[in-house]
Amino acid sequence: MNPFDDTQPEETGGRLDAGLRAAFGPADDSGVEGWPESVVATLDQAMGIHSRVSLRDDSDGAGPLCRPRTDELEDSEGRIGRYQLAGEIARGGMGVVLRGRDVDLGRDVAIKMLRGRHAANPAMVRRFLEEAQIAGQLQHPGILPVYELGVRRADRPYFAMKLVKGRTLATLLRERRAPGDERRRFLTIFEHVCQTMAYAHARGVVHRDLKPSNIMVGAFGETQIVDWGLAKVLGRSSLSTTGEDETQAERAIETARSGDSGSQSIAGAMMGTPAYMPVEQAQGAVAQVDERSDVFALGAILCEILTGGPAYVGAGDEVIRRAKQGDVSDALSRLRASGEDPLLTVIAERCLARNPEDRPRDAGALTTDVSRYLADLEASAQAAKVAAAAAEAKAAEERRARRLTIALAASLFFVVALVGAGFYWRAESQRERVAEATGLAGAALERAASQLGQAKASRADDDAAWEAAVAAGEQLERLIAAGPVEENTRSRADALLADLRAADADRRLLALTDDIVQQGATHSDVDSWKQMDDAYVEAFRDAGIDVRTASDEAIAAWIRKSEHPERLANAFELWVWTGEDLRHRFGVDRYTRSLRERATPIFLADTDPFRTKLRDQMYRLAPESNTIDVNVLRELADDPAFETAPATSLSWLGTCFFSAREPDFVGGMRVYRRAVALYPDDFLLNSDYARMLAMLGKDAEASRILSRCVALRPDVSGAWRTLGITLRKLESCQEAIEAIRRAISLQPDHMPTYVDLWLTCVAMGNLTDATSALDKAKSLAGDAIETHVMLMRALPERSPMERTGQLERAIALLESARSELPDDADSRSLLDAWMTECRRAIEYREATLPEVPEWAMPETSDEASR
Amino acid sequence: MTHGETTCWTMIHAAAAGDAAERSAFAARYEPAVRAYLIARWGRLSDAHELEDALQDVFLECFRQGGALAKADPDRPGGFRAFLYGITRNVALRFETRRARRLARNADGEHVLPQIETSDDRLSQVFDRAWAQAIMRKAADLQRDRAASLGDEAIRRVELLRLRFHDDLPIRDIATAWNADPTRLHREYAKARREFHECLLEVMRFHFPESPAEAERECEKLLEILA
Repeated sequence: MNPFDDTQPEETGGRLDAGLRAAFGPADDSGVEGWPESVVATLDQAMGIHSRVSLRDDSDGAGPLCRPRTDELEDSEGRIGRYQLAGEIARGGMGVVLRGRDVDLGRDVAIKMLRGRHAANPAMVRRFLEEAQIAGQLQHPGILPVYELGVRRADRPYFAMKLVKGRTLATLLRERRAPGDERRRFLTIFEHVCQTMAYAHARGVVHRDLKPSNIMVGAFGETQIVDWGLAKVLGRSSLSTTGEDETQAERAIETARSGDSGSQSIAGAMMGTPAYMPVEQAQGAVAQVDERSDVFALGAILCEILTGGPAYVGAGDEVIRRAKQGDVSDALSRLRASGEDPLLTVIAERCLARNPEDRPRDAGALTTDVSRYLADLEASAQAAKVAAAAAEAKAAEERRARRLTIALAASLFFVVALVGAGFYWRAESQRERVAEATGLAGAALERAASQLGQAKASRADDDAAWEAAVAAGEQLERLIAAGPVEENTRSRADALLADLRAADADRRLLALTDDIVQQGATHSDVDSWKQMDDAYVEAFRDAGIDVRTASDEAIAAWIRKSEHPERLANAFELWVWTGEDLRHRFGVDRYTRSLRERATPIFLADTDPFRTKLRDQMYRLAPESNTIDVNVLRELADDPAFETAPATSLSWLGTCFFSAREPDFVGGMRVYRRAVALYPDDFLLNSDYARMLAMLGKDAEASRILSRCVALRPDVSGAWRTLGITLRKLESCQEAIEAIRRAISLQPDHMPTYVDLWLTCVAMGNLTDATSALDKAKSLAGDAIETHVMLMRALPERSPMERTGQLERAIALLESARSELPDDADSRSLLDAWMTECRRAIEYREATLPEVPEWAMPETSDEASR
Repeated sequence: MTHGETTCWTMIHAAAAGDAAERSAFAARYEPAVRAYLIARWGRLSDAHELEDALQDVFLECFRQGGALAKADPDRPGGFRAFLYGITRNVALRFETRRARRLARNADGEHVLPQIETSDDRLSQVFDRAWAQAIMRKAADLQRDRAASLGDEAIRRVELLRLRFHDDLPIRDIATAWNADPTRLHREYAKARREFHECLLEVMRFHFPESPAEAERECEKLLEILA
């Protein structure tokens, strides 16, 4: 076919048609043609007015790198609105940032456009508009100006803003060789960031995602905060400043959602970047996020400037975990080890405080601190320059002096004046530094005193209150050590710190001794009690006293000066009784003095009448003492002081009643019930009560109390084991097994617990597990005899006939083992202890327990009310 | 045609010698094909500055003393189109290498190398199509120039082609609009097509001055590319 044949009808056209269409037809939309028409082009075409001003290229650094393609737009789209597109700079969850050029004004811009997948989501559209409105209304050199808000194809909002040419603070920090490099430059950048955020806070906006990668730094140090996508406009009620005039308290920023009840943030959701996030934000407590949350992020940035890492460092999950716990201990350690000026690290530490109340109230307050610090730095540098100039002038003058005497006098005067000025400047600067350091230390002193007061007012086991007091004290200590502080403030701080240290040491000792008795006394084997005795001695020694060698008076004085003398006296008393139990129950005599003699410091230190009267009876429990007077016990039970007596004293009173073997145990049970009503959460009291109930055969009631014990202290192996034993007696063997296995998981090398497991498995008929448990017990004991002793100790729970045979057999076995044991004191002592155990078991077996009285039956409502 | 007495090679030589008018004419003639190639290779949203710089580099490469032109062989297969294609491709590769180095030096770790179309077949098609379009428009320009000197009849025939292919009007509708005899207008239309073809061959001869047959074959090929 000849394409040029003019006889062909045009409808059939040939290849020439394609050429003609290319030659005369509309321009092909393949990018070959120029850019779409603009205002300038239109005016050029219509009126012949041509204008194309093009200034020299910005020299403030390279523009951002960008991908030439974006999948957020169709390939054929080369522009949005009046902006010619030139690629994608970055993208986030909500929007994509494109590079564009305003062809009319001849400037490059950044265009942030809502991502396509959110176009149909009204909440996201609202949030996007909010970002544009916030950034558009915040007019500050540190915030990118928004040029225009537009919408593409009626569903994709976008806004054009200044294209930042520079690098992120994150990049600059990463490129440092060491954290100390260019410190002054980075502190100046940080000051600019604080100033910008102070402006935003003043207008009621919190950023919520401050981090180095959201801070752009230009070639001349100009600093701009970007990405206000998570910003929150604070309502009047959430502004942390109070007392504002009603009219002033109007919303500083108006957005599309102003007055809208729809929440920008979803309560419980984490928004932001965990490494820079305060605990309230990490926990999704949206309502608590305010200016101080940004202050935390600023502190994290300062921390990164000073130490090379933000508030939280580590793997992703670890950072999130720490953020949620507000655990900044690592950051604080890094700050203290950084070798930076303490005045500066203290600023960072204050920002990183876990409690928002302890942080500067907003970025404005922080700016004041940072600016003052930098000004002082500048003043110091200036003073040094003046001094150097003075020295130089003096040297020059001396050279001239040899030639001209008159000039010498004049020059000397000049030098003196200069030096004087320098010294004056330095003295003035020093005075200001002292005033500032004293001001900071004074504030820290007030805070520490307040925290200590709160801690003292709280219970000794209120860890949070004490940790806050200790942290405030540490901060005070660093401030005092860091700078020149006025003497008065220093001496007040020293006194408070001494008070705090003593109180904290007390608290730690009491917590430790509580734990010792709870972990040890819930078991009833000789090793546990020996360990308990050792642990007490060690704890007291760590607290500054050797109770085995110190005089009674010294121990008494030590107890008296405690913040909680009655509790310390009680801890000491439990140690005394541990030694007595070792002697009496297990035949291990560690102390030469009698029980009463060893208790002398307690009587000296604690003269409370109720407790003294009780102790007078308690120490009659020892075999060599007088018989307990039940009437005195009854008087104590009826004493009004009963209601305010410590839980331990009440437990001792109950024990005395039981030991007095008064008819029907009425008094003892009453005392325990009243005591438990007064102290329902006291572990040791409940544990003692359960022990007494078990002795009376009230196993159901005992198991209920023991369940409360394991709920109070689920980490105490002995409580689980005792619960298991009680449940076995109630024939709830499966539950018993579970409790005993829990005990084993907490204390896997405790041989007696495996014996209980063995007994329980036997009771269930599970011989496989029973054998396994027995083998384990034997392997832990290292000697079959010890295991056998433990079996005997369990025998009283079984039938009398069975007990009799086993116990006698065990004693025979022990007698024969005596010759096989190594001939040393320890082995003999151990064997004697086992023999004692066996004989006590026989005594126990032969003892006739009274019938269970009416009052010991399960509680009625009347009983409970009593 | 303004430079009817010259060839593309002589034009390049003149441009390389510093003739500003020749340089401007050369750039105007071949820029669309080069631009189309670069956009196809880097994407429509490629950095506008970088694209313009690359365009400039292509032409500088052509004009540079001892550059690509010195090595160019007018008798090489594919003629000037293949020559320009090669230069454009090399310049694009050079820019991409530079960009990769810059990314490696400056990237925050958030950027990846941009997607680059590397299929030579497709890029060659894009280049050839843009080239063909540019040649066709040049032929149309030549036809308009000639019509201006031939008089109203000739100008009317060019307008006829414009209405037919730009406004997509059938001849009979144009005849109605012009109140002309449709049969006669068909003959005018055929004549206009022949005139266009002659201009096209003229443009081709600019590129193949030594071989009219080669020029005709190239002409056929370009129409095939567009079809």
